[in-house]
Amino acid sequence: MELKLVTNTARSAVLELTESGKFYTESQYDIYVNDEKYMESNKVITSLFDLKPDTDYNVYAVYNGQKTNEVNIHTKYEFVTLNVRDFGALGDGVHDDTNAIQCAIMACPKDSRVLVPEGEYKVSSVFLKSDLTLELAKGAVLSAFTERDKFPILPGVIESYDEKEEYNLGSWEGNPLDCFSAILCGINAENVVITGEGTIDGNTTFENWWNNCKIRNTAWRPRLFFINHCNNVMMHGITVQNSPSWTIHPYFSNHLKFIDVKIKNPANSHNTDGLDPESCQDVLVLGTYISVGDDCIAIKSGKIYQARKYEIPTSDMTVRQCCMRDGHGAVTVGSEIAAGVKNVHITDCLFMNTDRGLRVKTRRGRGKLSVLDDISFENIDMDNVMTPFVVNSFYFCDPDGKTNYVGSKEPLPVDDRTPSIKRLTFRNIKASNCHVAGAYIYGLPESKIEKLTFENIDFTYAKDAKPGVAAMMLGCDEAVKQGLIINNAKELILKNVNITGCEGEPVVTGNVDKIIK
Amino acid sequence: MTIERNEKLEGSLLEKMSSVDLKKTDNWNKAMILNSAAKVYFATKNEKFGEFLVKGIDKCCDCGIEEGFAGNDNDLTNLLLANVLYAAKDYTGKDEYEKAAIKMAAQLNSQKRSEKGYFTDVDGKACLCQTYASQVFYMNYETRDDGKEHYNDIIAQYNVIHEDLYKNTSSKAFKDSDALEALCYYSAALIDTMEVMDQALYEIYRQLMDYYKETVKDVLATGISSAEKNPAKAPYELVFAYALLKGCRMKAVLTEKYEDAALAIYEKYSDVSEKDAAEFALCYSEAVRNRDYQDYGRNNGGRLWS
Repeated sequence: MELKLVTNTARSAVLELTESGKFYTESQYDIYVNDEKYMESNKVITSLFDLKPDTDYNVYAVYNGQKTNEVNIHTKYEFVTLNVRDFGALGDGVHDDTNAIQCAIMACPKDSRVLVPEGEYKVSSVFLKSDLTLELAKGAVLSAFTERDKFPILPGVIESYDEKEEYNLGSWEGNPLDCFSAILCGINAENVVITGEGTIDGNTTFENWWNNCKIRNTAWRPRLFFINHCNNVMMHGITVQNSPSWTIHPYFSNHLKFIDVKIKNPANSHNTDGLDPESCQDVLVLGTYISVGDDCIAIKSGKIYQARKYEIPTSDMTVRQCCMRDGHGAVTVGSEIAAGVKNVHITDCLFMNTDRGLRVKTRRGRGKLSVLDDISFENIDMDNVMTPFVVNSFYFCDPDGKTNYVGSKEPLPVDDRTPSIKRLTFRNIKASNCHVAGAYIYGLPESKIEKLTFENIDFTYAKDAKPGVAAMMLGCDEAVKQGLIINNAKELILKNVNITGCEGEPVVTGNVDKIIK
Repeated sequence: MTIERNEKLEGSLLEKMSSVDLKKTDNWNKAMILNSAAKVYFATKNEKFGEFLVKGIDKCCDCGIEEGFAGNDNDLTNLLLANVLYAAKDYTGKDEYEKAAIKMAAQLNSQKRSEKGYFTDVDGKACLCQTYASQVFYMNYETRDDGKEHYNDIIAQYNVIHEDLYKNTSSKAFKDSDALEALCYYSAALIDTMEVMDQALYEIYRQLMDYYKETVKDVLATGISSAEKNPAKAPYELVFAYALLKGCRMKAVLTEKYEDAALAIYEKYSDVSEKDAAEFALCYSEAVRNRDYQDYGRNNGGRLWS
């Protein structure tokens, strides 16, 4: 066990207590700063707030009576603090504070912070700028209006004057379409930190944004947080909740960190994915708690038009020490993945009460650039997950989703529209209280999954297992307590896989070229 | 230049359009008149055009609304007329119009096709202008009532049409007025098809937009907007102006670059005859709507287009 400094700002630090558990530590422990007890924690990743800039701190933990190693932290330099109340924000839950907060942000010099102190600040859409630290203090809530006419619109595409290029701002489900600006929005910004113990609340209900949500009304629904072509952005500590649509949507942005963020949307809310990086590179999600109405994390890279135009996959992503619960999928890859997803690793996480653990959603028509490769899940505990592993290459989304072209189980010619899946690895996983199936894996017959590895995995089933449909594809009927159903793979590795309590054959394969046990 | 709503002009247009006996005129004219009335209604909310639309349909549907319009089997102009029924459904909210449109859509299954797969008329002849009659309704029907399953067929038809017919036609447009006329209706077909589709299949939408841009550029290259007024050319020049204005509104082309050319055509035929009143009304509807778009349609119920 070791106490490690993950990162720090001028006013906060993030610590990790290694080998103490997955997301939650096995015991509660105390953190001492300069030999004084500072806080208690039950999480592997813990944030310290209210530190002073440019200051030395000595930190250690006491875990089960044992003192850990000491960590020395020197907080970063800070020039000035711009308190939004000094700029006219009232934080009274009534006054529109958008302008005052925006003014403070635009006026903020380098190495400085904009502070939103305790209070309820009514806002529509606030825009980030480069070299900014925005701190939401404990008790501070950016509380969003929900009236459409208060929100600006991000046009999907603006054509250049010479008609040769285009500028894309808005994005909806993988296409460049007009959408309302997010509650917190960044465009072409870099070196941004959003930190603190405060909250951004979308205030969405079935009376406003979630009402008739599948129909565009003026423009598509806003995200809660949207960054487009941004670099070096960190979101840390804050809570984001009740989002109008996808909660956090980084888009064509790189070098991103989401640390100790709490993402909460009602389980019955529509399309409220937690975190959806789309065509992003170098993404870290650490110590984050996600409980939403759709997929907790959904990794994307656009639909055909964007993929062909930019050819940027989502790649080099790590999800570590996170807790996902109550969503359709804990970590989903798809379905808008036309530019591919590569080098994604999920480790040391808890998945609880989700419909699926890993959920790959793809289909014919995503295109030859849609290559999924080097995706791994390691050291995961799943509890009460309906089907821990689902790879669905026949996902019936989009207007043509239920056509024979998408749904046919017979091999079709490989062409520019055919997607592919290469290496998927699942290792050191405990999946308890499964309901529908241990795994439901379907590659395409004409483009088989190249290598599928299951190693050191224990599946057990709930006593009162509920039947369900493992994958949204034609021909996948309701089932209960199935083992591993695996179809259309070149190489399947099953090492130390224990399936206890399933009904029927524990492993059912079809069209698998090689099985290694 | 800004075209403001002009109620006096609307009255004059309606009077001219009303002077045509809808029962006696052919399907194409019938459809142009009724479609134009619908477009003017949706642009201006002038109830007189809505009433004209409904009365016109009543008059032409001899066997009752639910049977739709009578027409020769597999005549593509039937489909142009069928689109009027969807407009009437939107205006009245009554399902009977939509049911009639669905009934008329059965023709799509039996429609004669070329060897390459696109719709042709009963005699097997193919022309770019037929896309205006068939593809707009086909897309409208797919979006509203057929689960969008045949979007791929529509774009496949356009792809072949563009490859097979477009290049040959556009190369003649400088000298051949028939070719120019075909291009003008083709541009309207493309932008109208885009308008009624679901943008979730964005690659299809953008492919149509590319064809549209290429077409309007080729038409403009002929000097259509600065050409002398010619009553014989008025119908298709006005349809082109309509298509261009709609393209500006839908951001398919840059307003600041293209709008003036469309408005020049509009101005050129502002003293339109009864014969061409429907085409002028079509153009007028877009000239008015283009202003609304500057406010993102918020004053018009909050929809960007449609």
